[in-house]
Order: sequence, then structure tokens, then C-alpha cells
Amino acid sequence: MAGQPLLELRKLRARVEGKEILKGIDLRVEEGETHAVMGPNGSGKSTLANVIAGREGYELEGEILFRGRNLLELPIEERAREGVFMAFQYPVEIPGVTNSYFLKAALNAVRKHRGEQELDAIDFLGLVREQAKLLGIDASFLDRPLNEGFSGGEKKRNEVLQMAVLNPRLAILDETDSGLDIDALRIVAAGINARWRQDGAVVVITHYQRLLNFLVPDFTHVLIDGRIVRSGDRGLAEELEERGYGWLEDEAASGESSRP
Amino acid sequence: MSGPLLERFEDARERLPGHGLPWLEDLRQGAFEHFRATGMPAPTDEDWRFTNLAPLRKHDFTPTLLAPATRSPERPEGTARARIVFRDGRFDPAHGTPDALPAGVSVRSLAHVLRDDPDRVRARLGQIADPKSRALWALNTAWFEDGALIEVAGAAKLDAPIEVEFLQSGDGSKLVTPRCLILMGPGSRAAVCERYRSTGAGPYLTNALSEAVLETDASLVHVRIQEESSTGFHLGGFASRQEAGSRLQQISIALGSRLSRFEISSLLEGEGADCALDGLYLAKGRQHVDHHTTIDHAVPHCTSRELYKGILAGQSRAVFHGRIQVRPHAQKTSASQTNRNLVISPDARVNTKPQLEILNNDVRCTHGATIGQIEEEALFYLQSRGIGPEEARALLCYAFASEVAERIPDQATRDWLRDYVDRWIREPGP
Ligand SMILES: Nc1ncnc2c1ncn2[C@@H]1O[C@H](COP(=O)(O)OP(=O)(O)OP(=O)(O)O)[C@@H](O)[C@H]1O
Ligand SMILES: [Mg+2]
Repeated sequence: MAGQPLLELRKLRARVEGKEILKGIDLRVEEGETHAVMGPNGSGKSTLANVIAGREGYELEGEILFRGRNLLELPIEERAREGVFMAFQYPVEIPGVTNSYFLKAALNAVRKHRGEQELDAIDFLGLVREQAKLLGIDASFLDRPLNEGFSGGEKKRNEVLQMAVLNPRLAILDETDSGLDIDALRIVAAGINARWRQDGAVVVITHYQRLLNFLVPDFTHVLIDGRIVRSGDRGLAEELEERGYGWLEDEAASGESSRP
Repeated sequence: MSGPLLERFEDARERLPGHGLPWLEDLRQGAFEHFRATGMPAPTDEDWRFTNLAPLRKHDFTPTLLAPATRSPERPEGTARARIVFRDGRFDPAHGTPDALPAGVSVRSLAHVLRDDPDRVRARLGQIADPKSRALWALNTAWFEDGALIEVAGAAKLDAPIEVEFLQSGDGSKLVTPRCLILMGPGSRAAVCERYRSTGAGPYLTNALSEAVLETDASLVHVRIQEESSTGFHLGGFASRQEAGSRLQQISIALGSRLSRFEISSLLEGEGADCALDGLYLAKGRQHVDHHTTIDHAVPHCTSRELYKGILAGQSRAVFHGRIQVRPHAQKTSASQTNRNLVISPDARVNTKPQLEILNNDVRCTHGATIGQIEEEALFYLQSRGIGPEEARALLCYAFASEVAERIPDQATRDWLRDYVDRWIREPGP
């Protein structure tokens, strides 16, 4: 764990309309690591992911450093081009924009930023078809309007397809596993293990052990009421699966939260 | 502006096409008198509450016929398509008449036909668009100088649309009065694209009217692209009558003009007729764009559908008024009407109003109107993938417009429109 972390959150607070949702988050994610973030509904997990991705509308305090750069100074699209990717818990339907048109615009924006040549239609289609095939996504999805009428699982697969094509350094998966069937889960986990274990990192927000069986986390964090109340290894995820959050919620309420 | 127009009519009538044909004299005279009695529409008229023609009064528009001639620019590149061109509302012989038309299709200058073969149009001209139904249609009928007569017979096979182009010079404050007549024979099929453009930068008024008859089982796609200059005024009309089993798709693309209004009157008078009206309007700056539709379900078992969408920027104003009439015996009518507006500036305004007059219980009729903004959620999604905000907005605007744009059957027109929308959205509006 030498050198600069890929992602570092320092005392990150987020508030919406006077309501504090994130209450001081500290987190370090190093290259090659997989982190799991778990926690009860409404505890702030998606907010955390959204704030890193750059969603507007929050009053923020603290710092988000990505490879040493302060992300809070970068607009949404710059963060993406720098290599931050969030797979949405609820992917947005955009009628009128085809999946492939969108993805090509995104990929070329990212490539341009990296100083790489923009792909023409043929090269792009070659790349995206190959990735779609690996993920078991029918090529006809590429011509359909972005996420419109996609099933829950199809939307999640489509998020993973975008991730595979854009090839970010940091992938944050916000409940991407919910809705994926067991085969898709395996494929996604295998893809992530092959790619993001080498360089880059993955933060997996999930409620279930299911995905973590294939995508074994190096660290597990429990987020309750806007705070990371406990961090541990993969064992913590298993413990949560067994015991639920009640015991941690009690601890958090009595102010005895353990910090790593 | 109507005062001088009225005075000049007496002197000018001898020079209008078809002069000396008693039936046409009667038609023009009746229209003239109607216009003299009503004058230009005013906001006190319920149908004109939101569109004020007061800015027209500052100008003294002169009918092309009475205005000094404007030199024609060079002949543009020819296209493989059937195309007829009118400059300031008059047939441009430099373009000739479309050659290589398939058998059973004819595209001619209406003025030529009134000179050479008037009986061809006698039964139809002015019989679809009743001049007494609207002041502007009366004005057009009194003054029209030229336009296209398009006749299509059942056996004719047309691949590409017939293009009718109206180029306004923008010189000499002209009143340009085009008139088209489209006669679709039984079982015929065709696509017609009317285009209104300007090559100059002065004020002018286009008062255009097209009539279409669709006989039994005929099918017509009528696309109308209004791209007048920002100094031009555009008042347009389209009137159709449909016989049994016929299908009409009318698509209005309203892009230009400082003040424009397009009025449609669609009569479904044969059972099983189907009419689809679509529209896309883009307005910025101080542009005002108005669509006013009337669909008359006169007989049972007809269907109609309307989808009008607009993107409003700057301080622009859009008006949509959709009237659907279902007559007492027109049972099993199905009608739907939708108007959606995307407002991308805090100062743009929309007035939208459905008007349903349903005199029958056995009817399925739906309508809806929305005025919304770009969804932040969608914008965030696109940006979170690396797409810049300007590009993301352009994508979302095109996505909104595409629902109508994609209904244009002709690929070349669709591609042109996509580029147009893309450029329009990126140009900083005044
Ligand atoms: N824009 C907002 N305005 C008001 N409240 C918000 C907003 N965004 C989030 N919240 C609230 O903040 C809390 C945390 O929401 P968040 O979506 O981050 O939870 P989560 O941990 O992802 O929950 P889940 O497991 O259900 O996905 C919730 O109580 C939510 O209602
Ligand atoms: Mg969530």
C-alpha cells in the first residue's frame, strides 16, 4: 500500500436541503483493491457514489482525492474522463438516443481526453459488439433507445457494458448485482477480476453476499446513517449476511463505533 | 397592411393568373369580399388569442405581381429528384418542370394550368380550403399568383418525394402568396415536400395555402419545412379532404420566421380514412410559432392522431391549438392528440389548448399536453459517462425532437433535420 491512493475521501459530508446524509466519511482505496460497501436502506450508500461521480445538488464538505487530484473541483464529465465510473442503481431511460450512439459519444469523449484517436463507426462497433458478446448482451440492444423498456437485469448488464467499453480506473457499482441472474453475476465478476485486479479498483455497493462470493472484497465497510461504523475484511460481509445490521446500529447509536 | 392591399386588388386582378375564367373570378371576388369584411385576424378572435399579427401592420407588403422584379440568383445544382421551384411565389422557369417523372405523375405550375388547361382544377381549387373559413385563406385565394399542381394516379410509382420549393428573395417587402393543389387519385401513393426559404434579409410576408384531395385508398405523406428568414413572416395553411380508406400523414417542421402560424384543416369524409398530423417546432430569440389544427371527423370509423413537439429557447413563444370535431353520427371514431414542449430557457412561453367537440358517445379520444425542461437526471447520466454538458444537452434535445423527426419517411430529409437540430441547439441563441 505504498504511494498515493487511487481514491481518498477525507471527512466527506453531504447535505441536502438541510438534511445531513453523509456525516464525515474517511476512506482509502488503493490500486488493485476491491471494497464492498454495505448498509441498510437509506444509509447513504448511493449518495456516496453519486457525490464521487459528481451529481449536483449537495452541499459538500471535506475532500475527494482521485490520484491526488481534488475531484470536487472537476465537473461531472471530467471525472468520468479521468477514469471514475459509477454504475447507476437506477439507470436512466433516454428515449430517442440509441445505446450505441450514446456509447460512441461517451467513448470518444473519454478517448479524446486521454489523447487517443477517436474511433470511427466501424472500429467502435467492433469493440462494442465484442464486449456485448462477452456479457451475453444481444447485439440488437445496441440499436435500441438507451435503457428504454430494458428489463431490470438488462439495464444492469448495460451498465456493465458501458463500464467495459469505457474502461475506467475506478468502478463504483451501486447495487449492480440486484437484478442480475446468477450467470450474469459470474460473468460480471470474472470480467472485473480480470480487469480491475490488475490496475484500477472497484467499490461494490451491495446488500448481498451473492456477488461477493465471486468478487471477493479486500475490505468491507458498513455505512449506517451516513457514517462508516465498521470496516473489516471479507469476513465482515459474511457476518453481516448472518447477523444483519441491528448490532451495528445499536453500537452506532451508542457512539461506540469502531474505526479502522 | 390590409388597406393598401384592398385598394390595389381592383387594379391588379387583370394580371392575376386565370383572369377571365368566370368561375375563378367569382372565387377570387368572394374571397376578396370576405377578407374586406373581416380584415386581418385580431386577438379578439378566439382562434387568435395568443398570436398577435400587429407587427405586420408596420409593413406595407406588396404582392409580388406589383413589386419590382427581383433578379434571380444562379441556377442551383440540379438534383435527381422531382423538384419545382417558385421565387417570391412565382414559377421559376430556370428550373423548368421536373423531368423524368414516372407515368401517372404530373407536377406543374398552377398559373400555367390556369392559362392552358383550367378545367383540370376547376372542380377542386378553393373547394377544399374554404376561403370564407379563415381570413388568411380568403387573402390567399384573392391574391394567389402561382404554386404547384401535383396530380398522382393510382398506378404511378414514386420512390422519392416530390419537392416543391418556395424561395423568397427578402427584397422589396413583398407579400408572397403561393397556392398548391395536390390531387391524389384512387389508390395513389406519393410523398410531397414543401419547403419555404429565404435568400435575403429584408422583411416579407408569405401567406401560403395548400389543398389536398385524397380519393379512395390514396396515401399521401406531406412534409412542410418552414425555414423562412428571421425577418420574414409566415402564415401557412393546409386543407385536406379524405375519402374512404385514404391515409394522410402531414408533418410540419417549423424552424424559421420571426412570427409564423400554420393552420391545418383536415376533413375525414370517407369511412376508414386515417389522418396523422405531426409537427416539430424550434424557436429562439423572439420567435413566435403557432400551430392551429382542426380535424373534422364527419363519418364513422375514421382515425386521427396528432403529435406536436417543440423546443423553445430565448424569449420565444409557442402556441398550439388542437381542435377535434366528431360529428353526431361519426361513431367508432378514434382520435388522439399530444403536444409536448421542451422549454430550455426561463423566458420562453408556451400556450397550448385542446378543443374537443365530441357529439357522439361511441368515440375513443385522448389528448395531453406537457411543458417540461431537460431532465437533470438524464443530463447527469450522460455527463457521468464523459459526455460534455453542451453535447449532452444537444443529445437530449435531439432525442426529444427525434420522435417527430423519425416519422419523416425520407432518409435524406431526416439526416438534414438531425444536423439542423444539432446546430440549432449549439448556437448560442440571442
Ligand atoms: N436529493 C435528495 N433529497 C432529499 N433526500 C435525499 C436526497 N438524496 C438522498 N436523500 C436521502 O438520503 C438518504 C440516503 O439515501 P441513499 O440513496 O444514499 O441511500 P442508500 O444507502 O443508497 O439506500 P438503498 O439501500 O435503499 O439504495 C435517504 O434517506 C434518502 O431519502
Ligand atoms: Mg442506494
